Amino acid sequence: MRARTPGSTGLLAQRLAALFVGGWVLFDFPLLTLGFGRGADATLFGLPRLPLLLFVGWLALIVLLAVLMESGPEGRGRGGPPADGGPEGARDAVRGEGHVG
Amino acid sequence: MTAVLSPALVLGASVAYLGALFAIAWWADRRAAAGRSVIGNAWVYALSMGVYCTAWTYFGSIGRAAGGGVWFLPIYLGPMLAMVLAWVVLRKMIRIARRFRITSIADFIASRYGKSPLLAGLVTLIALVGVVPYVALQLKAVASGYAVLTGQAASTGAAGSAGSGSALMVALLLAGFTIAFGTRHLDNTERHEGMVAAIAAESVVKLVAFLAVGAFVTWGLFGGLGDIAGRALERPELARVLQPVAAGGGFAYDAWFALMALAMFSVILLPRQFQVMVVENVDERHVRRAAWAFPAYLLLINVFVLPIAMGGLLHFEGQAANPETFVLSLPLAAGQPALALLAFVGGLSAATGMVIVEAIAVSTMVCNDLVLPLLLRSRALAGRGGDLTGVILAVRRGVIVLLMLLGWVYFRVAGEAYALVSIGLISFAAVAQFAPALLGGMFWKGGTRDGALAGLAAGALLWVYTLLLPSIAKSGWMDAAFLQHGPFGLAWLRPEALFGLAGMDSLTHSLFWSALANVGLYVGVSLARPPRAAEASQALQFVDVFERASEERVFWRGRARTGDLVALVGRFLGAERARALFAAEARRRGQAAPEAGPAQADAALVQFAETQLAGAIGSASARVMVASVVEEEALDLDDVVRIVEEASELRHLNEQLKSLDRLKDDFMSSVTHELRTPLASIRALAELMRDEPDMEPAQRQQFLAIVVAEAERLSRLVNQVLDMAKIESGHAEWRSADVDLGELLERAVQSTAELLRERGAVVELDKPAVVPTLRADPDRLLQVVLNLLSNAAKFTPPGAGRIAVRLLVRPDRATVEVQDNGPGVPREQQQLVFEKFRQGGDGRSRPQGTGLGLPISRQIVEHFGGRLWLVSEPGQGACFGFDLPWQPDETQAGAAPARRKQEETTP
Repeated sequence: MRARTPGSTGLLAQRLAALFVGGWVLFDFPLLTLGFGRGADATLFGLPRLPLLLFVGWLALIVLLAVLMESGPEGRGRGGPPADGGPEGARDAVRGEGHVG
Repeated sequence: MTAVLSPALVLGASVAYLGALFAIAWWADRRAAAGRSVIGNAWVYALSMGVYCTAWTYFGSIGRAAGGGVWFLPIYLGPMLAMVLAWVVLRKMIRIARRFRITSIADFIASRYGKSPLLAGLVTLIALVGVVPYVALQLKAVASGYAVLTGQAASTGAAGSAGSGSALMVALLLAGFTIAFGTRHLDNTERHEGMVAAIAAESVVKLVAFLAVGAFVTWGLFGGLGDIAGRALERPELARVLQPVAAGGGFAYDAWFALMALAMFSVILLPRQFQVMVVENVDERHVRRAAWAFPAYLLLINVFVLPIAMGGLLHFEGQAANPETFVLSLPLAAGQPALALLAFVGGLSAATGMVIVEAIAVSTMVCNDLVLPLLLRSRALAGRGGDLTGVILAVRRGVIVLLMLLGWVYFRVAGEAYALVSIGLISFAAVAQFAPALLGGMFWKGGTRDGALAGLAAGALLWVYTLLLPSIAKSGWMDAAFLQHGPFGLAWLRPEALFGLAGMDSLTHSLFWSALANVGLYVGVSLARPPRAAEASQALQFVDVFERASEERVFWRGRARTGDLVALVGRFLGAERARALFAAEARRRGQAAPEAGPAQADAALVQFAETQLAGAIGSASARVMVASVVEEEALDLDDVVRIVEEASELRHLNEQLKSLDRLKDDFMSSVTHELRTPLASIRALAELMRDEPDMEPAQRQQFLAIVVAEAERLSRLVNQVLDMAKIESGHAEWRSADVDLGELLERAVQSTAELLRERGAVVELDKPAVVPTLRADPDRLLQVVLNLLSNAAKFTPPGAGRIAVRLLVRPDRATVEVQDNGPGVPREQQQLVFEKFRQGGDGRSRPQGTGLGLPISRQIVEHFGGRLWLVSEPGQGACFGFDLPWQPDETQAGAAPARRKQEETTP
């Protein structure tokens, strides 16, 4: 009955929502603790572990988002024509009540 | 060893830089006027979003990183997460704002909740108070940067009385600049192309300058990222900051989460962000690129924050240097004054960009939603009827100066006790109060004006009490005792531990309480009563903005004169502009110009006028103004529901009409095609005979026979087209008489006997002896049977044709079948033969005929309540049949609307 609204129901919107949730999980407890550590664990490739992991995660998120945003045609959520009402009934109504009066 | 720059040089460079920015803005405005916009580009759009990065990012983040390591990051990770949903949320905001000419966040929220002036005023007030600390932050950063660069800051880097003076100067300079940028003329879309171009350029400058300093510190002063990290981790006090240890280390997850959420909302709710992302957006498809390019920009500008912070702490070890100005003091200390100057220009860029856009956005809000409603209420101005554009511009300029002065006052009052980042966060917390009303309103139709008012007011009051007042108190301007013991000694009212809630930092504490009250009251009060008509109609328009039907809904009823509307819009946009706008709208709707058009304006025109006005003075004021010149009837909730239903019904009928229109076009092109073929052959043969007078008589005779046959075909075609048109339009004349079907079939067979004999076909008629009479038009029925017979004759094999005509009498109807022994009709063509101008057979064996016989026959049979069909197996011949009810009226009444109407039109 209702027109499909691009961006709110399409596959792209669902993918974005999933990425959004994934981003929150990535940047919060408990995954954040993966960046903690002292001594030998304090660094990764010679750089401080927590900032490095945050920046790498951030970059990964940007790349994923860029792939989602730049792929696919414009407004890909815009599926077929809206499926509202049977055209036959309406056409009959037009004919039936057209010229009266 | 520290180099110092002369004030003249720094001032000169700053003014030159601002001048260059202005030149860019002027050039972009010129290009826009010439129709060659430079901002119609997704990259420029993404760069303009970089106005998010202010002096806070440029100076404050380094200070934060020096004291807290990665704690500067949540402010940028939040926007990253927000932009993941930009395609869903931001695009919807852009679409809504464009549809209703919304030009500020106050307007957006007020418009959603029934164009409430009260709500618009409240949002504006919160925004105004909320951004003052933020403006102060910029002034403080520029002033202290200037002090560091010119050596006026002894060792603290803080701004003393000299800094205060230069801050005031900066404030006034920026005010003048903003006025020049944003309020030169009044625009009913509040678009500022030049400003956007300048902001995008500023984003490039601040990024380049910051990266240059970062690269210099990392690779010039130190041996790379690993070197800085290694040396910082060797020092326990730095290692603790840079790299938290295991989970027991007291990492404040609640604060981390709160900061990310806060920044996520702020990136769209700050007035300047709303301005560049929503109002200044030229094409919503640009959101696709900006959604990832803007986070990438944030990542780039943050890469060197930790290296600069750690590098500065290592470099200035043992000295009292303010980390917030490391970006200037490090190059200076290393004897690189040129780089320091570049860094200062970058910081100036970050500060001015924020101030300009924020001031323009806030001045639009304050003017439209606080000042204008009061002005318009005062009779003197409202009644005078003059052009108000000058007044509006003056108000906006005044507001810009006022905002700058307020920022300077806050800087004087509270600036020195607080770090840059803490000041900024106070602003973030203020605008975050908009989130429930704005985002809730975009996706939930149940939110009401009262809910939004209650939520916003409660959230804002709690923000003032738990965050703003403590910040002023801690600066020593108020007795700070109430922080310790609560007002009147009531400990449970302590602003930073309300109801005894402790264990959080003051920002998280404030966010929790204000969000709880805001969301709770918004939802709770909204649910207390159903939405009113004005709220429900706007809720539908906002939430369903992507539905096509929503464009056609007009929620207005009453009487209005076009002239009044033109005059009203003219008062705010200029008479000339108003006339042009209305003329363009009239053209768009296919009507005469407003002067010549109907004096009475319809609802759609009233809505158009209101939308134009909303662009200039905000939707709440526009509503009031329009209401003052028209006679309105109040709508109730049922009216709203009915309008929505009518709009979708209307759209539906419109689509039907369009498809009928297409059918008509197809029919016309088929008719002309069918007319052309015989005409071409007649003309060719006639020319041949004219040009060759010595033609053989036999040949001439043959040609003439063809010409006559083609002419007959033409007139038959024209007759049939007319017949078809008459039947379809319901203007055909129908007789009604008693018909003896058996006798009618005999007549038909006799009159085709000659034709059949020519083709060597035999016909058999099989009918019962007694046939009841039928009520119908005998001539029309004969036409049908003749058509079926001649069709059958055409397809029978020459010399061996057999045609069987059968009449079957059933209790309720008569069935007639015409069976031939031709090639039959392939299954895929069986439906096509009943369509106009479609004939059986392929191109080569296309038989003589107009292609209208069967469609007309079907119309006739259906007129009398029967059906016409075809049964055919390839190779088995074709059998056309039709049936007719004995009493069409009684058995078929109501089944065929087309037939009913034709009877009404036939006397």
